[in-house]
Amino acid sequence: MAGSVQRRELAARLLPIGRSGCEIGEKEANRVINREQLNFAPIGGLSEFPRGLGRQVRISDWDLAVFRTTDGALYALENRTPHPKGGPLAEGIVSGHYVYCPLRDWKIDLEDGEVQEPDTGRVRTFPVRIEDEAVLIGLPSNSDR
Amino acid sequence: MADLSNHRRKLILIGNGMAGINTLEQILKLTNSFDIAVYGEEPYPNYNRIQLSYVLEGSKRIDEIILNDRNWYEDNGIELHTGTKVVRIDPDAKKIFTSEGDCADYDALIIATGSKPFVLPVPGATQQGVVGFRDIADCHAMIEASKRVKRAAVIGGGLLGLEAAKGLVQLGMETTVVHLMDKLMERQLDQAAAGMLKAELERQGIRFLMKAKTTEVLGDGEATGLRFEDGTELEAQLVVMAAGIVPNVELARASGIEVGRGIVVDDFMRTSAPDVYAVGECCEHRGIAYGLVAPLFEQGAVLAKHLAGAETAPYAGSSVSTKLKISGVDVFSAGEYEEEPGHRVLRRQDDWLGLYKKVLLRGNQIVGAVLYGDVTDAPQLAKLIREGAEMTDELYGRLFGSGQECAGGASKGAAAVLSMKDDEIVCGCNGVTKGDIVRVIQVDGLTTVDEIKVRTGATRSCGGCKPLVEQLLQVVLGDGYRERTAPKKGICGCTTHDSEEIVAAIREKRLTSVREVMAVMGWSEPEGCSKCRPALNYYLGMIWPTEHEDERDSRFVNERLHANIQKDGTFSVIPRMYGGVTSPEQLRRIAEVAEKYNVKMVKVTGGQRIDLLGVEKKDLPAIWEDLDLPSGYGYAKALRTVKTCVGARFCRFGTQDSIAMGIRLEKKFERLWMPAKFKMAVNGCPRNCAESGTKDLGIVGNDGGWEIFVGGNGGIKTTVAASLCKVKTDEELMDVCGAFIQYYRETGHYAERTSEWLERVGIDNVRDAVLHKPEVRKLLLDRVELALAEGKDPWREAFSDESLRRDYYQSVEADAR
Repeated sequence: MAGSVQRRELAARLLPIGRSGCEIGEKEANRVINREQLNFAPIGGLSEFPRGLGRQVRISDWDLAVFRTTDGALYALENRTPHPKGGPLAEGIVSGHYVYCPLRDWKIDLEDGEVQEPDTGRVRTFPVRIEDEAVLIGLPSNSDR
Repeated sequence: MADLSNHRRKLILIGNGMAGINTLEQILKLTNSFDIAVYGEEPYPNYNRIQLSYVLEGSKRIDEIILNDRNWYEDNGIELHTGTKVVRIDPDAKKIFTSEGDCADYDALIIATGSKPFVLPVPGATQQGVVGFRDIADCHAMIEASKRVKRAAVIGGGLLGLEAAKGLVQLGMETTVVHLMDKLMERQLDQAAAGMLKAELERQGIRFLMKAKTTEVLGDGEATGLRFEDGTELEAQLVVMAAGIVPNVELARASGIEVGRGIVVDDFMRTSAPDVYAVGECCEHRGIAYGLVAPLFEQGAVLAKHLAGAETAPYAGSSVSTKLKISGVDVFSAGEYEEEPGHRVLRRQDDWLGLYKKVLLRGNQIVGAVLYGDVTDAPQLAKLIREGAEMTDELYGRLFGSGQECAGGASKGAAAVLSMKDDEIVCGCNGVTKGDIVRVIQVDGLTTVDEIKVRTGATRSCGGCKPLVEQLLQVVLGDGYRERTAPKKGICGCTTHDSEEIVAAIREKRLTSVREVMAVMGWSEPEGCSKCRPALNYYLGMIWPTEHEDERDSRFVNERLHANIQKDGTFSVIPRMYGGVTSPEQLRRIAEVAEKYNVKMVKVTGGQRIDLLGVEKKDLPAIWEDLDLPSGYGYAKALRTVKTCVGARFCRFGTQDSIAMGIRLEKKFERLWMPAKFKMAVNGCPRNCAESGTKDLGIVGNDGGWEIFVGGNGGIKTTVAASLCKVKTDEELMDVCGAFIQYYRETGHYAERTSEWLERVGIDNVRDAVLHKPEVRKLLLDRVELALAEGKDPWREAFSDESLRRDYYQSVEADAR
């Protein structure tokens, strides 16, 4: 098992991550910038976000779930399912560009936070940028939430 | 040629596109004697460039046109350098140099750098807003532009230009195709077909400017339009150059390798430099640089055999055929397409239905064909032309009909595939013959085009042979085709396969990972969903207990973290208490831990264990370390608890030592993954205080032995357990339990409790396997022992493994300043 983990880490280092994830983040960023100023804050190194997993990130008083898909792209969502009873998202199973809510199995699109049919709702998303090996998240700089 | 020493040869491929990677795939089928490294300028793994038009028009996503994902490189031990440009080759020293200053040695080198768009040498052609249509970046640029600007001009009315134009219209742009000639696709179509095509595309919203020679791209740094030779202008903020391609030869030229229009190669794809080869659109063979996909694969096949030291006929050039990939427009052309003196012309045109078919003969020999509207006969015609076949009455009847039959397209198609020889190529892109496809249908039992695609590669590239593959399925499976391909109940929305088929495929094809199962069995979602992934992971672990590496990311949160998630996102912790027996010392420790971590509630569970509720995720490993007790698996599809009564040791009615037996069973079968949660009980007498009647496996002691009950359930649908058998000794009891558990593990569907399972398989079958056939029981016991040998305490693993602790349990705390 250890051998394979090492191999995967090595592969992750050798293979630069796909550009698509960053681009989506940037696109989102541009969209949001039109409305409000974003402040890109570092949340750690790329290696802290293993592929195929979600991770809870607390930053200021934001509670976020940051997911890294198997193709290397990163997505940040509010760490709460839109179900009226709520619950954290970060522990969900990540498949392709979707996360399945760990409490009620809702399927949520990581790119736009949209809950998939038959359920409805939307999770707030945040742009992610990667600079060198650092991961940054765009948060509204005012108290707009 | 063959290298007999143990020394592995180092093979470098420059260019991570279809031609190069296809060559590698063919090499890997022949030999594993190379260490392979791939250098690609684009940041993506190998994708299907032919299908870029689908990405542009939005009917496919980039991840859907990836042909070889990064796992493929990893699985084949190929070192992949994406986003890396090779700037120089030193053929004497046998080294390559990258723009980042790295260098690498090779024993053999393949150049497959492809081509780039031909940019018209007119003023203004390098401005912003002028793009080609060759790669994903171009696609992105066009999609982005469509959000900002309204008008687009596509220069070039060939294959590429028309596909680009259709995509842009789809993106909502007002699009004009500017073409130098007076007919579209003039190198593939005759006047009639080109005319029908133009009319159809106009109907779809594309505008055309024919016989227009562009002399300038207007604009002041950013494109605003085009000016033509006659002085007229066209407004356009996006200009797509699709007037042709130019082989990428700079690298070869800079390295002193002979270059003509492309990199010059001989019939074995050898360049002028020793051990340096070239394939695909970058090379020039006998004066021809091809720009279509099929020749690239044919070249790759020759090169692969040559490099692997296998015997191969020299590459003698390709006969090319064309298909346009625009939805709703089917066009095909191969060989000669314009009628000339000396041709015999077979033609059928129907302007009402929009159908056109023309076949050209020289004497009796079929030398060319053009199809519009219905391209069912395309693969067959391509082959006939490639082989220079003679027209016969039979062939004519098949292609044009005898004039008497009704228009039964399917039966005509069936007759066509029936008459094909086994070694006839069905998929020209990937060199798959009729025999290959019939074999996988008959021998491997494949029943869908998707399965055939995964296995053989047929339909994988341009998709043009899909009708033919469907016809083959129809012919080989007969009436069973519709029946077998009718949608049936798959284990989830990603697949039509049921559990039995999946388990059988994992065993027979020796599939070893969730991803592999999904790929081989043609999942519609490439990474599956929350239903199938845990199921596949279970089946894999059950079938390959020692080999399968548990895929934690495919497990539901509770099994991934080994604690039970609660509605507020905290977790519950239930330590193992064998047989429900604890001690003052253990209770003391639990109490201390509960206080130390501010546990919100301490509760006795329905299964005689103690539950600590409301624990934060980040505290889990520390709590487990402090508890120093094994995981009670109160969250898992595994043995939960063995509930026991007091039994003969204290109870005045007890006839058997139920506590000792309960502890023994729990220690034996704990940590074993099951299809669903699994509950047990052991009772010392028929009063059944520990409620064996509602357990998956319930044991009741009596004077002189035990009675075993199975398939009980106290849950949603209360089911009373059925009596399986009576046994006399403790050893026999252990054996029957072990065999029963393993039989359930092997035949149960994922998430199926024993009560449903028993109803499905029938208790007689269970008795047969577990009781009546000693040889079967013996094998079941051997296999359960194998699986049991793998169990490790997951809590101990979590607190003693730093990386597990970090990746799975810790959150990130950051400061936004």
